[in-house]
Amino acid sequence: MCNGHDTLKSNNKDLQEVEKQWDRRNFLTKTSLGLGALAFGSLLNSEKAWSNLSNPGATTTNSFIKNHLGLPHHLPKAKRIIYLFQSGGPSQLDLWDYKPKIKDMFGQDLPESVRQGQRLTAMSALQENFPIAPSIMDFKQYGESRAWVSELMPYTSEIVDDLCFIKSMQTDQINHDPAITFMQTGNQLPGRPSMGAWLSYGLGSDNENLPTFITLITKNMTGQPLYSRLWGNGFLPTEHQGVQFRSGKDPVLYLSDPENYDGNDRRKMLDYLGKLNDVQHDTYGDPEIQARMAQYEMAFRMQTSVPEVTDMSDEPDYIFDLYGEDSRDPGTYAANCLMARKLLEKDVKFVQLYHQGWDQHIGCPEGIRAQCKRTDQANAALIKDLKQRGMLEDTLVVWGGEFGRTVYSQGQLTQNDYGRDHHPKAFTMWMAGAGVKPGFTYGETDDFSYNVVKDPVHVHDFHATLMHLFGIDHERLTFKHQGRRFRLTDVHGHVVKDLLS
Amino acid sequence: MQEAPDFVLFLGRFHPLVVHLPIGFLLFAFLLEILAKFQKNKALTAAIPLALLSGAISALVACILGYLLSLSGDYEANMLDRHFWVGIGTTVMAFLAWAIRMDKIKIPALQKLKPNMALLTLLVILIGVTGHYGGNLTHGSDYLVKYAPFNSSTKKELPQLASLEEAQIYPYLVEPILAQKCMSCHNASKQKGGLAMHTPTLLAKGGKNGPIFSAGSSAESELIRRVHLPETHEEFMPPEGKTALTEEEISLLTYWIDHADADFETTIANVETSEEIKQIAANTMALDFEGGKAMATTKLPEAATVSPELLHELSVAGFRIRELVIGSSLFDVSLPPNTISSNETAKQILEQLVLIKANIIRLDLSENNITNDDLAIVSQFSNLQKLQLEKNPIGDQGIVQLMPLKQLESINLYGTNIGRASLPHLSQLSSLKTVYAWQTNLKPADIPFGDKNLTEVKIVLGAL
Repeated sequence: MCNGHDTLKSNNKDLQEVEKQWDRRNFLTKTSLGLGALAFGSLLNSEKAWSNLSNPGATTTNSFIKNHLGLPHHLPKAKRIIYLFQSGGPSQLDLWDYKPKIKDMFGQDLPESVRQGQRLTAMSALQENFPIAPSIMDFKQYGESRAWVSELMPYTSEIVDDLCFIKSMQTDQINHDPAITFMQTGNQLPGRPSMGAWLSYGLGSDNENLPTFITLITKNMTGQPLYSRLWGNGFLPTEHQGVQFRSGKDPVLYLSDPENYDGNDRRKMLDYLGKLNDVQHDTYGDPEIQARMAQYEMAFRMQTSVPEVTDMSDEPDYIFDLYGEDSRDPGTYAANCLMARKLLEKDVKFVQLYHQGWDQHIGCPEGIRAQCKRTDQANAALIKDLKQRGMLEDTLVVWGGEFGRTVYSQGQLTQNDYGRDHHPKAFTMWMAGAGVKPGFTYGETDDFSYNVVKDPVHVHDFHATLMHLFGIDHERLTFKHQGRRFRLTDVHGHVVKDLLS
Repeated sequence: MQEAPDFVLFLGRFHPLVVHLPIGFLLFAFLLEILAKFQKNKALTAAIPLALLSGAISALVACILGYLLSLSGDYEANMLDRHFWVGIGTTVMAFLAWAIRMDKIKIPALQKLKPNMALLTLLVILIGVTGHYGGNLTHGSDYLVKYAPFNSSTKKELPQLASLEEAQIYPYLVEPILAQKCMSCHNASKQKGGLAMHTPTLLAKGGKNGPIFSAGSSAESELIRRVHLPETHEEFMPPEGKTALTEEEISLLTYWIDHADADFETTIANVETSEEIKQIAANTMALDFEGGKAMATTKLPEAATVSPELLHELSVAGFRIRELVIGSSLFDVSLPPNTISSNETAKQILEQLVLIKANIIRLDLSENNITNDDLAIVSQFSNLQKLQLEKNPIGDQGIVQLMPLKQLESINLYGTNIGRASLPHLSQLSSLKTVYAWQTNLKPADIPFGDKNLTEVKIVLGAL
């Protein structure tokens, strides 16, 4: 026996066995430096020694935890968010941004004064000319707000008075991966935490039985790839990463008990494991150990909560009818919208849907028509459904992609066919619900939907506004990592107050 | 000015601590001297030299530390000089008093004048004077008598204005912020970083690193940079322990620098002023602001602080409690569905919330077997703005109970049994904006109800 054992002595017999395997040398090398440094750190600044540690107790049921980050900074309007991400870059020209003046300019070369030497993607940069391709879609004004919507979105046109259109979105990135990474994490390079992870880190969970941040992806879609880092936690503690729910038998992988195991002693096993991990954490002080423990507990609770929330059998027929026939087929966009509503009802804070296939480089009219058929009715249904349940007033709904598309045709332009390349300088998104102005259109583009001429909204501004709606000052929610403080908006971003109701 | 080394300042900051030792020792010596006069107690008399020597030595240490502190250059030179010399005088006197008491020095001429008593009295006076000068250095010269009953002249009164536009930006909007948040360290007597703010000239002159603002460009202004830093940053102003500037205050300062070119005379009418700034200015000056859209700031009620123990108890009882704004003691309270299984226990559970009745702003009791009678408890939550009662067996009789909720803006009654008879009662709720009544006995034909109070209220009946 050596003296070191006293410090690690447990009152559990089995653990004591484990502890006996520690010899003095092992103990000294493993603990002296680490514990010494920790002790010194806490001497210097007792609170800061653990400053980057998430609050591991926050997921414990039935206790009031004061927000240790000092949030919310101001009264939040939004309690939950559903982000309907349209991956690939939907064409604003064929959906929302009506440009009648270019009807007469069919096939003419895009004036240099519009493009102003902007660098294009390799897909269209080598084209000899850039023929203007006016949308062949029929546009009409709808609702009291007289918002323009194309024929492709008949259901959405019914709810325009609940929507807040931003026609002047701008991003920095022209290719899919950096653009979508930028939209989701505030930086074009992988590694930063996603929006949902920031909100989870800042505000914690409202339902300890389900993850705070859940991702749903439309099944059987092809297009630009989606990576789990888009809903990743980056350098934030691991329990804040988004959890992907799949369609089919196992919505969350590895959650069900293995065959021939009844799960009866699971609780006992976890308690045991927790004790072991506690010893390990006392020794090394690695916050990842706590994150892992929290996730084991979450997985245990999800064994009951997930089957419950993913069970669609109690939804009446008229709800399926509202979302469309697709909604009966798990994993479709419509079914995911319906599932999202159920998750939001259970106070999941951030639900993110991804729908691929909006990348219409060729055959734009046909492609986008099919995309709208898959999504339009469910979008409108979701808004209506949230509204009638009284949830729209504290749920923020966001629709949008990573960038827009060009007014000129990529490839051959014919009377009823054209392709459109990526366009970062102007695109349309809409928001609805908590704290944003309903029936409102913000920002304007030029006659070509190419440049923003009024009230630009940069992705950073969008992030700042989103955080604002949750009661967070985007400049004050930071996380120290590798020697500097990071935030979702980096050093940019202004809250677009004109969008707020 | 050359900044003193950190270690010197570190030692110097012990001055305010150590300085209390000589005060104590010397006053105690004085006390002993008086006692010794009336009571011939040898033990008491014997302690006097010790008290004097301790006082003198600690005074010497305090002097040295004080000198180190003065090297920071944060203090106004004249005031500092006086404190400095009187302090040294006191120390010298203390040593002298000790020497005389120990009969090490004899001044025959003074023998008849009871030198011990006289010197100690002088010391007490000197301590008072030194202390007063020192206090003025730290707290400002008007600190002591600011709130004295006889002092009424110092408060500067600005004339009340009829309209916002004629207000001079600096005296009405900027100076009050500086006075409240900055001038305790940047004034006539105390000039941290060589900066004084009590007159426009000195404010414009800046501190030892130069001007603190650049007219027309808040981005290049040190003043604005410092208040925007993270609170833990070393250069963040006001420093740790003092109240930080609010967002509104920062926006006023920025506005003054950017739009009024940091001019001390300009009025609001003369410069470009956004609606938002006008709104903030109007609030600051307690003026009504007509026109323009109101800022999206919902007024929050004041509520008493709630102990963490009580919140914990309520959480154990099953309530989920969230503080809406940190430190506000205003809560969003919800009861997870089906926590109340039978309506016998409902009252018992709900009554616990009465302890925080004024603190509840949003309340969610959906799907919890709440009945009409239980709503009498809810009606006590006078600051309630949002109430969710959906999917509970509630009828029109329950709505009658809710009449005291004058702040209620949104009520969710979907999936309850309310009907047409609820409408006259709902119309009595003066703040009400939205009623959710999907899947109730209310039919589209019931609306509009004809009551003009209800035309302001949106009744959502749902798509089906």
